[in-house]
Order: sequence, then C-alpha cells, then structure tokens
Amino acid sequence: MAEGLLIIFWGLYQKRRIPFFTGIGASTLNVVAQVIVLVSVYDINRWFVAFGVGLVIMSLAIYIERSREQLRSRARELSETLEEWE
Amino acid sequence: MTWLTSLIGYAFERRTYPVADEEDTEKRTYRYSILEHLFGHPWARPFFAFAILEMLIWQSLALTGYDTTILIASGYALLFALFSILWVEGTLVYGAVAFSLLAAGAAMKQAEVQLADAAAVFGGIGFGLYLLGRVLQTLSSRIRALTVWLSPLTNCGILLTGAAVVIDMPFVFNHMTAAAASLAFAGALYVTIAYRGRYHQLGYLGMAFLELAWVLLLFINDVKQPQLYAIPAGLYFMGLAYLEWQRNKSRYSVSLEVLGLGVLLVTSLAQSLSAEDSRILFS
Repeated sequence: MAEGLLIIFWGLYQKRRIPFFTGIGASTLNVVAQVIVLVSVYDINRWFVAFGVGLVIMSLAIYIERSREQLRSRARELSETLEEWE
Repeated sequence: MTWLTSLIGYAFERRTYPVADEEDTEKRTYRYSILEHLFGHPWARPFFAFAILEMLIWQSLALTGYDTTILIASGYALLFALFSILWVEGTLVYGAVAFSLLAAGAAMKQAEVQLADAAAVFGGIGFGLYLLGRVLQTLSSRIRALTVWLSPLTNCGILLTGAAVVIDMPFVFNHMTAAAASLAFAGALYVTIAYRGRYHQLGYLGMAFLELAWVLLLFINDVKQPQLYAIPAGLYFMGLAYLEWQRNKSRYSVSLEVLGLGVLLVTSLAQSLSAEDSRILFS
C-alpha cells in the first residue's frame, strides 16, 4: 500500500502517466485485496465489512450527486493536465 | 641471485649504448620498449636473459613448497615493481601483480582456504588494487614513474573481480557468503569506474551485482519477507528507467519502468494476500 502511494507521488513529481496510474491501480487493488483478506482470513463478521463498503459507496454517490458540476470541471482540468504529461 | 643478475644488467643498461653509426641504432631498436630495455644493450642482454631464465627455474622449483613459493614470488613481485619504476614501464606492473597473486594464492592454499572463499578474497584484492591505483594517481603528480601503474592496476582490478564472480557463481548455493562478497566487490568496482568514466551501462551492471549481493545476504540471514528482496530490485529497475528516460525518452526506459513497478507492486500485493504477512501490512 505504501509503495503504491509513493509511486503515485513519484508519478505526480515526474509528471508521468505510467507511474501515476500504476500507483492508483496498485493502491486500489491493495485495498480490495485487504478487504478480501479481512473477510476470508480474519474472524470478522462479513456483514460489518459489507456495511462499511456500502457506506463508503453511498457516501461517494452522495458527494458526486451534490457537487456534480464542480466535479465535472475538476475532471476536465485533470484530463487536460494529464494530456500534458509524458 | 636473480636480483643480483638483474641489477648488474641494469647497471650495464644505464651506460651509453655502444653503436657504430645512426643506422645501426635503428636496426637494433625493438618494437616494444620493454624488450628494448631488456635486450637493447649488448652487455645487459645476457644478464637479463639469465635473470628471466632464473625466475622461471626458481619459481617452478619453489612451487613444491608453500613457504618457498610465497618467499620467491614476493621477491620477484618486488623486483618487477622496482624495475617498473626504474624504467617507467607499465608492462612490468602486471608481472608484479601476478607474482603477488601467486604469493597470496599460496598463502591461502597453505591456510586451507576453499576455492570459492579464495576467489572472493581475490575479488577483494582486485578492488584493493583499483583503490591503490587511485592513491597512486594522487601521488603520481610528485613521482612521475607511478603514472604507468594506474592503467595496469585498474585492468588487474577489473579482471580479478570479474574472474572472482565467474568462479564463485557455480558455488552460489554452497558458498553464499563468498558469492555475495565477490559480487559486492565487482559491483562496487564497476560502479566506481562507471561513475568516474561516465560509462552508464557498466554502472547498471555494477548496481545489478550489488543488488544480487544484497539478495544473497538476506537469504543467508534467513530473511523471509519478500518485500525486502523486491524493494531494492524494483527501485533498481525504476532508477535505471529514470536515468534512461533522462538520457533519451526511449521505449527501453518505459519497459524498465514497467518491470520495476511490476516487481515492486506485484510482490507487495502478493505478500498482502498472504494471511501470515497481511497482519504486518495492517499494523
């Protein structure tokens, strides 16, 4: 996880897409993998995990819904910036 | 006896060259300066010829015992060193190094050091020779005769460290410490040479050797965390990619970067999926 985050920063610092997106992908995969490990290996009630994940998804959906315009302009800025990257 | 013969030959060689005319001088000139020193002077010639013959005979006879081998080889190494300074001849430095190595080899054989360990020691000697060359380089501004030592010492260093790696690699599973040491010596030497001479590919090779040495050391110490192996390797490839990207933005650098990222991230993901190690990642 730490490596994934460091690689995102490395990509940001260098303004290069490959490490930036690889870092994001790796971090996401790590989070998902950790959730799977949490459910399948440790003695934690899976409904708590499902509830937590659902809560996160719901919060995201609410946030996106409430600030759609702002997010749209931010996404446009981001894609323009990323196009300038190598 | 060899010392005496050589010094008498040198005394003659220092005297004026007896020539009839200018054409005669050119006829007697040897292609290599070392041969000119040895056989150029008609009076010195038999002495040096005998000295070479003596060296071969005495050293061959001395090989029957360890102490005699060490003693005779050390004496000849000093003789070669002395003449390389007197004649300012780089070729003789190779002789001095060769006889020194013979003495060192005999000493290790006497101490019953195993082949793999001895190879690592020779690798260390090679690295030491290179460092000695750098010390002599600073002294050579005062003593000009030492300038001819620099290149032979560097060449011997490269050859010895390379040979130590080649010899130790087949024994890597049985003699890991020796293999790690020879890799580390070779890696350190190549990185130093690459840094001084700006040979980037040699630098990559040197770093790869250092990485391998690190991995072997982890293995010897029974370190079982895959990330400790993967992080240096991944950073190595990413470092190479960064340097190559700075040099020329080629596909090669992109593939190196992808390889580095893969080594770094796939290993950490695989480790995080392992139940035993995932606790470490969470903490």
